[in-house]
Amino acid sequence: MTTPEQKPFTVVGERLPRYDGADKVTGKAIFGPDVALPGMCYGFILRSPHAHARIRSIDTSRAETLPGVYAVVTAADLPPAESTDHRYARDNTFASDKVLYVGHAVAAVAARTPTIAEQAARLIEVEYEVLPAVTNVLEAMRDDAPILHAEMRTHSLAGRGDRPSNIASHFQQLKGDPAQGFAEADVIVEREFHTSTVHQGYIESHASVAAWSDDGTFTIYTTTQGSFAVRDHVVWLLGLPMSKVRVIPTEVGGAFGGKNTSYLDVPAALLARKARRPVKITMPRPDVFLATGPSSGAVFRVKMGATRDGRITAAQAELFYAAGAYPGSPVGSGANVMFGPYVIPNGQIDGYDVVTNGPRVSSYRAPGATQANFAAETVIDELAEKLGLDPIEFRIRNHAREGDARLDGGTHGSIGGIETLEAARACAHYNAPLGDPRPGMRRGRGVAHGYWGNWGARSSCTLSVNGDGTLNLVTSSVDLSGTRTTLAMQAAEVLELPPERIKPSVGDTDNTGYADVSAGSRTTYATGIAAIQAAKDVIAQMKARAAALWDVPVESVVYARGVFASGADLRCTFAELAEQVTGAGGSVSSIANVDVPEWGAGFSTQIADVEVDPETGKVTLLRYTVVQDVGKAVHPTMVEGQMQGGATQGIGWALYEGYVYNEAGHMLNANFLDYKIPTALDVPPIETVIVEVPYPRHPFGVRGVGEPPIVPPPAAIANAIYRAVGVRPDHLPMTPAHLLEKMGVIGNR
Amino acid sequence: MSHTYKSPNPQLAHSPIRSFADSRYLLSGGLLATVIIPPLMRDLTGGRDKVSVPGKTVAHVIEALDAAYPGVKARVADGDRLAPGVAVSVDGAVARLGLRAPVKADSILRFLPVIEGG
Repeated sequence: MTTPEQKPFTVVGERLPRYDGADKVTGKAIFGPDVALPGMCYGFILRSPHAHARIRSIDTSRAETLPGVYAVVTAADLPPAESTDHRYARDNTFASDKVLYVGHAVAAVAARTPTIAEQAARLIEVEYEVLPAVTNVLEAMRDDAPILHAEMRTHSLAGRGDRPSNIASHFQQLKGDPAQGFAEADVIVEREFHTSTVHQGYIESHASVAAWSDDGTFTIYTTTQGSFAVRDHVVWLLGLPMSKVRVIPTEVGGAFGGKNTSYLDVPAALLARKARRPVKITMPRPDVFLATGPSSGAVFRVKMGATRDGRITAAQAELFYAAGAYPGSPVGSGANVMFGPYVIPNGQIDGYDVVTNGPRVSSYRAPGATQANFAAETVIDELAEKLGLDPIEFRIRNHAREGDARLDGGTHGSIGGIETLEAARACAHYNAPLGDPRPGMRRGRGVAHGYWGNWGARSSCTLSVNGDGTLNLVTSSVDLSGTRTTLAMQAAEVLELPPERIKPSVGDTDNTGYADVSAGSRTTYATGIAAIQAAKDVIAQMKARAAALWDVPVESVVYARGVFASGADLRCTFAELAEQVTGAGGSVSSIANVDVPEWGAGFSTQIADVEVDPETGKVTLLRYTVVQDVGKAVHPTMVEGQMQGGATQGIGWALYEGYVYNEAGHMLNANFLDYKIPTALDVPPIETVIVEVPYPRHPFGVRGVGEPPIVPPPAAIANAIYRAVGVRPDHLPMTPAHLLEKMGVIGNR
Repeated sequence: MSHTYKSPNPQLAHSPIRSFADSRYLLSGGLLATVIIPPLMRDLTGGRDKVSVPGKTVAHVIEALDAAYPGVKARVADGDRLAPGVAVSVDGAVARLGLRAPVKADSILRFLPVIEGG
């Protein structure tokens, strides 16, 4: 592959050491909980013990008088809400009239030590009127379900509901004539699936340190995916000018979408202003499960039909997503990618966003897609089997190409889905023997295919030339996965300089241009475009300076491989020119602000080999391969890491993870002992196959890579389990108990 | 409210303008934005899945749609913002400014559920 100028890559594609690697593995990197400020005190948040209750009264007097307490805040300390969305955000910060989930924040205390803060919080007297709770999405939709928001009416493009409901919204996608399409099908498969709420499982908890100055300025150190998103959230809820809030992002120990949302920053800021000293709040692990933003549990009803020659004629689905306490589940995203890889001539999807008594859901790596893909790809696998077709061949026959219309009305751009399927079919894993099972066990191999649309949006990158020819690159895009390295590599590629000449860093809201959250697998792609633009502008400025220095027309100055030249006699290196021009005429720097309107989807095909114990239902993962189109792998080791990490999270979603609630709406497994995420003991070495179908709108062909790999694992494993023991799981997680039920070894619970 | 207007333009002589939206066609310079009508709203448009109306912003387009097909605005807007769970794409890109998003003369608009990334 080459650059747009048809030169071979010299930096992009190399496996360089990460700029942030040494600090992170030696413990020097500063994460949110590491921040300490002079005079700092500690905050503790009091949370609801009830899943659904009216707040009759809150008495903070005993807490306020405990020695060592500096401040106590509740919803009363927040400005009034100005819209429904504002009220939801305000209430999710501190509950006002109702608590809607166990863990819902009610008050916060700032005190000299964390122990005093917690003791004081326990002295706050809250009088609750406990109400019935509902955590299951289908039960929440019933006419007799407890209503979370009395004013909520179902919003639909078919018209607004006329009575209170927990169904916040309904949408529909429609193409062609599904009834006719099913009439034309030779084979029809129809199934129902249930998936549990899961958490992103980031190892670093949430933390925020807020300081307030007498001039009314807040400075907030926080673990986040977007410093400007935090700033916007704080100014929105506190009614402040944007310039009065400075957000400094710390290093992030895992986020995966769960740190798009701000939870502690407003409470910390309120306490800091009232206490008149900096306040640090860190979230204990149970609160992370109870009171941040997991991904939706959901129910799917899927029906698909195909002809005997392997063509899909119709697809239909109903998606019911639990949003948690406030509307906003990723049901729209799930619907978009569910049948998205395929040409569906006749299709209908109905999606429902349903509030339930649980924490308000947030993004989790391809939000809404993994659940929907589990349902769709299981049905597609069954169709292929009934038609006697190889599962990859069936998918290729029906795969969308550039220009094909999707059910959501859009059309596919440049995509590499067929290429990933073909690469999967040719890879070593797919062609290797399954091997004989151990005595009493059964083995099976399964395949699944999925995609995620990715994102572009707003980014900023500043590139400054130093007098010795080194450069500083500063971006507001928070680095979750090594993107400061991939950005520096892209700039270095354009500058034709060794990447070690560039020092990348992440700035804050006071000293960088606006950036949307580092999410949607957009940073290497969109902020990379900004880095490339800034680098090109630096070269243009340096050429102009050289022209002025040499008294020649700027058009005569050429730049290649780190050297400026004009004619046969005038030449100098980048460093030599930098020394001369930065000493006179002002510095050379460039800021590129972009709002990238188009982006390339990423496809992933995954293969799983499992061994199942039919007596216990235990599933052992023997071998796993991720094949993915990444456009162009800027840093192949990091790309492979994304593929492996995403697949591992999908494996946890498939086999182990899920919130367990009792009838009162209490989560029973709010800790890493009882909520199991996969470890190195549970997952085999994950093989990766990088496919590169360059995305034409990025100068180097880059596509987002972080999210597609989490989409197919549950379906791939489910399809493998079917081939092992002859039953199709329809529940996530696919626990031993679930498999034993499906196999008829134990009765339905 | 609809108006019946006979255009002096010979090209339109056999296509009398029947609606408020059509009458603004002349004022817009002749080009209209196209709105893809979601399935759940086609009861308002007589089954039509595409409608062309003038407008310089999404809000203007919705007003024009509502004038031609009463009830549209109530389905997609909630006061001065889009209805909960509803987003609008203009020429393939989700309009971050919502109702205030600019619309070009030949833009294509589509109402969709909100999508997010993680």
